[in-house]
Formats: sequence, structure tokens, C-alpha cells
Amino acid sequence: MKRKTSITRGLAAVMAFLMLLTISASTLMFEYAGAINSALNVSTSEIITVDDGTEVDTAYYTSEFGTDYTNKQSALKLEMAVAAENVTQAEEGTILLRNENAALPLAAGSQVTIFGNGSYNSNSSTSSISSIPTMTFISAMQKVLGAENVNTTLADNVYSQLGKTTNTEVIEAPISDVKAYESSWQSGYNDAALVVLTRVGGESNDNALYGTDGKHMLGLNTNEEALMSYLKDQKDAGVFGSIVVVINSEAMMELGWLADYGVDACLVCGDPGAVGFEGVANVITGKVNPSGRTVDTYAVNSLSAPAVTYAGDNTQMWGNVDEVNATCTDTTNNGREIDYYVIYAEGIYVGYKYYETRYEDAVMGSGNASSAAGSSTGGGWNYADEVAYTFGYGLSYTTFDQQLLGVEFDAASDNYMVEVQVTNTGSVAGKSVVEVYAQTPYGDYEKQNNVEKAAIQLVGFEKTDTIQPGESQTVTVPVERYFLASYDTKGAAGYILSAGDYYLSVGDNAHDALNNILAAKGYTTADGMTADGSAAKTYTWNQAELDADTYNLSRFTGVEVTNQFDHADLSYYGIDFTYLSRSDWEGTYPAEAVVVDATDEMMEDLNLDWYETPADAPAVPDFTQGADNGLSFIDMRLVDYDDDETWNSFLDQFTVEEMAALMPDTFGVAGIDRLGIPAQARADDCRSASNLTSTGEATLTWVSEPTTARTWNTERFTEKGRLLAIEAAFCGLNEIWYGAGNLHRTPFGGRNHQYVSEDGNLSYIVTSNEAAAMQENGINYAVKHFVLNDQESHRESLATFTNEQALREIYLRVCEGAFCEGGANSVMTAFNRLGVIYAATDKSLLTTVLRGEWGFKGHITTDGFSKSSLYKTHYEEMFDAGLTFFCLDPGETAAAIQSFVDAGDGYMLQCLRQMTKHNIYAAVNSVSVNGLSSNSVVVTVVPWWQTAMLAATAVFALGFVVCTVLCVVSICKDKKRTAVQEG
Amino acid sequence: MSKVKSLSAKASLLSAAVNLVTLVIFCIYGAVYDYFDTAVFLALALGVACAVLYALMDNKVAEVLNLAAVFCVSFGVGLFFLNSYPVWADRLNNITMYGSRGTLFPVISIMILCFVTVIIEIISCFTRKERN
Repeated sequence: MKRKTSITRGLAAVMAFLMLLTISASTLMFEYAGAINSALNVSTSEIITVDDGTEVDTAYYTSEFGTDYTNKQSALKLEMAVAAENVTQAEEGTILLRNENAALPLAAGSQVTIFGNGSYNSNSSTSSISSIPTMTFISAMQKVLGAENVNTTLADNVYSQLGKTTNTEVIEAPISDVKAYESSWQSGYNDAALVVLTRVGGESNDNALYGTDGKHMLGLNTNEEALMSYLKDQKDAGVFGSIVVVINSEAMMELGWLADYGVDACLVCGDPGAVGFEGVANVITGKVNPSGRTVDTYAVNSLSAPAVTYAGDNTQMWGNVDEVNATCTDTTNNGREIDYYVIYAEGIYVGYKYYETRYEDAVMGSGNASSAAGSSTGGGWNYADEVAYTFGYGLSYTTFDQQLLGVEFDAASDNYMVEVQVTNTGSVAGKSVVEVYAQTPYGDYEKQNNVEKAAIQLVGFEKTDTIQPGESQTVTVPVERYFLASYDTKGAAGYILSAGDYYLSVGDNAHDALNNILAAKGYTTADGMTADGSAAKTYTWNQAELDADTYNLSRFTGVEVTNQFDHADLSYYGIDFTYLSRSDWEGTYPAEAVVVDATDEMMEDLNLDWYETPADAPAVPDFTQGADNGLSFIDMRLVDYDDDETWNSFLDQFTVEEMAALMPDTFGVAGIDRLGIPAQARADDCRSASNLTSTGEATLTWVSEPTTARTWNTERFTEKGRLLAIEAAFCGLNEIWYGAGNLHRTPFGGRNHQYVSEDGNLSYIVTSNEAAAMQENGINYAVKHFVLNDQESHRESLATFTNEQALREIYLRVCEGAFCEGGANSVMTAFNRLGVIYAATDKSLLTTVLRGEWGFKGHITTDGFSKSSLYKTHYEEMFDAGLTFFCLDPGETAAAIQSFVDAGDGYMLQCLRQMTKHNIYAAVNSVSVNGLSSNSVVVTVVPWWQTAMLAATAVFALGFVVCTVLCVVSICKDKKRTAVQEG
Repeated sequence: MSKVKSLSAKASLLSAAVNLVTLVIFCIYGAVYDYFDTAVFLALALGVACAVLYALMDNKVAEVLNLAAVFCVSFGVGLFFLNSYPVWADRLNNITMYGSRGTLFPVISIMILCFVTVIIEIISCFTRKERN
């Protein structure tokens, strides 16, 4: 054998290996091209405008930063504005929960020592903008107090050696490690001890109920207890002047222990993003007067909410799980995806609505509210034992007095207008929040028809301007009457306005407002109230008759609003289940989870396999495709959604393949040159847009969504939406899968940082303002995850049972404002199921309610698609339900619908045309139209990395072929020579 | 029959042995996590056969069987990588979304074994098989 043979063979082998590896990598990269393009900041469309002498302004969406998205200076100015807004949001979103002995603000020149692993390994983010430095808690305190006044010994020597707290384990230094450095604060740096405590959840990762040390995950862990005990001893010994705790968490920590450890002041800052700690430091030092209010309840015992019985670690497995796995078809992941369920047994009593309603019933002596059921102490249920800080709570460095001046009903807007005078009665300028709550009647009709009523619910709010000491401001708060309606599933099968007494109450928080209502009813502390209320802060009226007419038609489309979600309730499958009711707290509290066996009907529905071509379906030839009607994408910009003639004319121009190509999404979709449709890019989520087109740097990470909500300032909501939209445009995006669409159903939610609050109405107001601002700036605001995706544990395909009242009044309410008032043009469905119906196949949800009742015109995506998860592959059911595009789909859905059309299913072609209309409608009402005119031509640009991969594959393939040929030739020659020699 | 004394033949046999182990692990992995792919199985099995035949056969046609083995195993590992993408995506992001089953450990183990197989077989390709 010749040496040449082995060399060529070896080279051929190397080439074969590299070629096949490159092909493999290329296959994956091409499938997820959008994600690669996004990561590499590559645009795949170029707009070429033919100059015919006419001036056309194609900057349809513009801002003070211009529309030259490649301009580095503009991008930097934008990010500077974003940084400033984030500091403002952190300032207004930081809540002062406790401030004994005027511990805060810290005086100028105060010397402090920083404690807590969370001070160094914080729940925050870093900046990748080179000229905007990350603001850590420590650097922020050094900035406001002076570096020489901040003792960072523990951070430098102890916390820097530790990891970050995770969703299952609290990482805190052993007290011995802390004490080893106590000399550094014995004689200085002891005006205050600043302690930062952190909890961290994340996608797919709820906070555990219990930490690794067996203690409540959201309570203090063993090392934290030791740290707080030590600091109390140090303070008692006169070493520290005060103890200040900063809660750096979006999980609502248990805070009943603050007084026990001598904590003077406590702040909640949540997750302040990349630069927000500066705002927190400004509050601590009094540069800014705190004005944030809680958007969740901070319980003494995080496990005391009834929702916890079926949530997170308490997610339940079917009683007959083996039978389910043996019977059902979608048993991917070894059955894991169909094994679990949760029941929203608490009904509407989520967060403060549970604690406050039970409190009122305890005061009034009704509903067995003082029974031991659900009590954290084991004795009779007592509000003070359960709630540390209620919803809407927050202190200031000054004091305010709020006087209810009057309430008027404005029939034109269907709003009550609540006029309140706010007076700064303290000595420091500051902002206040006017919170308006409502109580609606809970009478015999409601009890008979299982219509539950929270004793108090937020219905409106306004933040004041900065009010100087001694000065006043009059604020008018609009309250939508719709918020006073209750969903009556059993009786009216629609929304009702109950007969009886209504109350509107102004309060410093939910509990204060309820106390005011109780005062109006004649109750006092003698009846067990925690404090006397002020009847003067309530407005009451009586409605003589039950009104089932006002909201029986959609406010937006006029279609009938009636029961649509029977299938989400266990009773639909013949299983009796009693939801929590204030008529009998003791008898209905979900003390223990009920084990449910999936019935035959449930298992059939779990298979998601019900599609049949409708008998009256059109035939494929009934539609015209591939026509040339002279319409291009930009021509559709101002076409009304209901102009069927023009839309059909435009849709007729598409081929089936072109329409199908708009369905798969990999953080974007390719353009269609022939119809003038540019490529689109989309990104995830409300915390950061993406990479700037001009520099490739990632945009700043924003404060968390709850931080924005905690400002209780609609101006902040709007500004966040506006600036995030402009950032998105500067990143080449036309859509952000924003978040904000789910609820803080329990304190443990892994993605609480993306969602607004535990309250549906507050979420409604926040998302409607954000959505309106984003859409106005040409970016599609995609609410996610629609709907009931309120936990991360077992989120894939989780069967979620609830009743329609809770679904409509709380969980759908979260998103409703974004669509109905904000005009959001996109939505992402959830992984979970409503009952056992996968959200992305739920036609009642996506078509009847979303489009029918709410008038949604945009497009609908799934959450992350994967053909490996069989429950996500019921294509006909998803297409029929109203889905229009598919997140992270490398092309499976496009192939599927083409096959259905090829097989002659005209109904599927009709669905495809509808999907295309919605996909185009969302795109043409976005920043994607910028730069386009009738003189424009869209040209697809092959990304450089695709060229590189193809070139590499070609080189390796050529090398393989050449080397193989040379090798074979060499072998043949060798054979011939051997034959000659042997001959 | 070729003497299996040459480095090339020995390397090919060693490669076949490693590949056989990989094949067994892949079959167990595929069965346990429902990730069995016939194409991957056939590619690896063919790789084993080619490598063994190369080492044992004394035939001009057999001279390219170690090259064929490299091709087969490379094809197999490429396909296995594509099939195991959900596991990579879910585990590296610490989420559940891509329908993954199992952990990254068996996936990485199988891929490493495949790469070892290929590297040894490439060594076989670069070296000569002495004949009688």
C-alpha cells in the first residue's frame, strides 16, 4: 500500500467528518435562522427605494431619537434616557414598609456597613452598554454616601466567595464568617447596618415552598436568622444605630419577623435591573421621598394563602396516572407532560382578596371566618397573625391627608369619577397615591348562585405630583363601572351588577380602605377591627335590582358575553368540587389537596384530537391564490381590518407556500420580496429588548414589571412602554413578547418578575397603558402567557382547573386591558391547559373571547414549539382555534398546513388565509413599514453566516470527493502494480 | 485474512469496539428516554461493520472501509446531535420547553464516544495496513 493512499484516505476521512458536522450544524442553524440573526444582529431584508423625484415621508413611526437605527449616537442617547427612566422607576417603585424612629433617610455622611449575600450576589442585572456602568447595590450606596462611608469588608471577603441564591436554596454566609470581620464595624461604619435579602425565581423555576434547610423558602433561612440575631445584639449593645433591611426579591418574602430582630426600617426594591439600585439608594438617603406601594400581599406565613394548596411544589398528579399514561396519546417525556393538574380552589380569593375578605367576615362574625381553617397559628384565624403588609401599602418620609370630595358617574365614559384632595401634612415634599377600592353586594342571590365577592377590590388609582409641605392637590380618579360587575356563571351566565349596597372607598391601602367601609357600616375596633376606619372616605349607593343587562354584550364588539369556559371547571367532567366561599370559610377552605382521577372524558380531551373538516367547509378551488392584484404590503398600511374586499384581494396574491412561510417563527420570520413584505424580528421580553443594530450591544435590562407597577404611576407605565418600543425599533424588532399576562397567584411564582401583581385590575391598568404606548410607537405588545400560566412548576401541559368567575374577573382581566384599551396586536398562548384543553387549541379562548368579545385584530403565537412535545403538534386543532404563528418552530407547522391543503381540506386553507391576514395586519401596523413606500422594493439578503456555513460545507465536500477519488485511484494503481509484480 | 498486527487494523478494531459500546449505550438511552432513532442506529452499526471488515479483510475494496466507517459514524453523530437538540436547549437554559427527555450526561457521553470512535478511525485511515 502506498503512502499516498493512506494520506489521501486520511484526508478524505477528516473531510467527511468535517463535512457531516458542518451539515449537521447548518441544518440546526438554518432551522433557527431567526434566532441566529437576532444574536448576530443581522437583518435579512433590504429596502431599496426607486427615486422618481417624489418626496415621501416613510418615517411612519418616529421619536426624538430619529429613525436612523444604525446611528450609534442616537442609540446611546436612547440608552441614556432608558437608564434615567429606570432610576426614576426604581425611585418611585421602591416601597418603604417600615421606618421606626425615623431610621430613614440616612443623614448625609452616614457611615454604614453592608450585610447580606444579596448585597453582592443580588437579584439584578448587568449593563452591557460600555458608557453606562452597572449599578450594584454597593456601588449605588457608595455613589450616594461616598465610598469612604461604606464598609464593604464582607462583600470583599465573604460574599464574593459565595454563589447566588437559587430558587431552591438560599445562599447566606455562616455567622462565623461574618463575625470574623466584626472589627471593621465596631468603631466606625455603624450608623446603620444595611442588610440585603434576596430570593430568585426564573423561567421553569418557581421558588420552592421549603428551602434546603427545611425552613420556608420565603422566610428567613438558618444563616439569615443568625445574621439578624447577631445584628440585633450588636444594635442592642450600641454598636449599630439602626438596622435597615432591603428586600431584593420579586417573591413576596415573609416579613412578620422585622420587629423581632429590631429592624428599624425595611424597603422592598424588587429586581432593579441594571441601573435601578441608584434609585433605591436615592430613597435610602432621602434624595427622593419614597412613594411606592405594594402590589402584592406580604404575609406572615407564605404558605397561608389558599392558592398554595395547589401550586408550585404542591402541584398534583392524577390519582390514576398509570391509567392516564396507558390510555392517552401525548405521553412524551415519559408521561411527564400529562401527569399533573392544579385546581384554583381559592376561586377569586387570591392575595389580598382572601385576607381582607376573611378579615371583614371575621369582624362581622359571618361565614365562620374566625375558624381555625387556614390559620397559621393553629388557633382561630386572626388577620394580624396572617398579614404583615397588605396590598397597596407604602410609607413616605412625610404624611398625607386624603379627603374624599365627591363621586360622580359619567355615563358617557361609564366611569365613576372620584375626586380626592390630597394634602401634604408633613415637612418633606413628596408624592402620594390615591387608591380607590370598591365593595359590591354579597346577598342571597350571590350565595345561591355561587357568585363570590371580595370585600375589597382595587378599582382605580392616581399618583399625585410632588406636593410641597402644607400644599394640596386635587386628584380625579376614573373608576370603570365594569370593574364593579361580577361574573355570574350559574344564574345569569354573564356579568351582573348585584342588587344591594355599593361602596367606593379611598384608603392608604386595601386594609385601610376596607376599614373605612366597615366604619361606614358601623363597625369599630370593639368589633375586632385592627383600627377604626373613616366613614367619610367612603361613597355608597344602593342598587335596587340586579342588573344582568348592562354587560351582557361586549363593550367593544357588541357580541354576547356568556359562559365559555365550562370545560375549565371539574364539574364539566362530572366531578364535584367546592371552591372557597366566604359563605363558609371553614367548610370550603382547601386545607388539603384533593386527588382527582382523570375520567374517560378527560383522557379523551387530553388527546386534543377532535378536528374534523366541517361539513360546510369550502373547497380548495373556491379560493384564488397566487394572483397579481397589484397590491403590496405597504398598500395595506391604512386598510381597515373590516375591509374584506381589499384584504381578500391582497390575500389572493399569496401562494399557499408563501402564507405558510409566515407561520414558523424563530425570533422572526423571513420576508416575501414579491409582495414587498420585509423580514421581521421579534424578541423576548419586558426586561430587555435585544441587541442594538448600531453597536451590537444588548439594551439595558429594565426594572422588573412589578417594580414598574409599584410606582402606581400611569406616566411610568406609559414611559416604559414608549422607551421599550423605541429600543425595540433600534434593535430591528417589530414585536416584543412582553410578559405581564399572568398573575402573582402565589408568592412563589418563578416569573413574578415578568408579571404585574396579584391583582387583576391593577394588571389591567398597567398593561393597557404599556400596550398603548408600545403600539403607538410601532411595536407589537405581545401579552403572555394567555392564560392561567401562573406557575412554572410542571408548566408544560399542566391541566389547570378553575371556575369562570375567577377566570374572567382575575386571570383574563390581567390581559383584557392590554387588548381592549391598549390595542395590543399580539399575544402568546400558554403551555398549560384550561381544564385539560391546551391553551393553544382552546377556540373559546382565542376566537370567541379574544377576537369575538375583545375585538382583537392582531396575531397569536404559541409559546415555544417543539415537535418533541406531542401535545404541541395538534396542528388542525391549533389552526382552527385561531393560532397564527408558532414560536421557535423550524417549519413543522408550515409543512403541516401545506399537507392539509394539498389533501384538499378547504377549511384549512380558509384558516391559513385568516392566519395570514392577522400576521400581515400585525406587521403592517408596526414599525416594519418604516422606510417603505410605493416606490420601494424589498430584497432578501442572505446573512453572512449562512454563506459561511454553505461555503464551509462546500469546501469540505469538495475536499472529501477529491481526496476519496485520489485515494481510490491510488488503490487501483497499487492493485495494478501488485498484480504486475505478482505476475 | 489480514494480519491484525498493523496499527491501521488495530486502530480500526479499537474504533469498532468503542463504537460497539456506543451503540449499546445509544440503544439503552433510546429505549429509556424514547429517543431511539433507526437511522442513527444503522449508521453506527454500519460503522462497526465497516471498521471490523477493514481490519479483517485482505482485499483492495476493503482499503476504503475505514473511510466508510468514519463517514457512517460522523453521519450518525450528526443526526444524533440534531435529535438531541431539545435536551441541549432545555438543559443549558435550565427550562422545560423543547420536549427534552433525560439529562445531558448520556447525550454528551454518546457524542464523546462517537468522536473518539471517529478520531481512532481517522488514525486508521492515515496509517497503512501491512499485508502478507
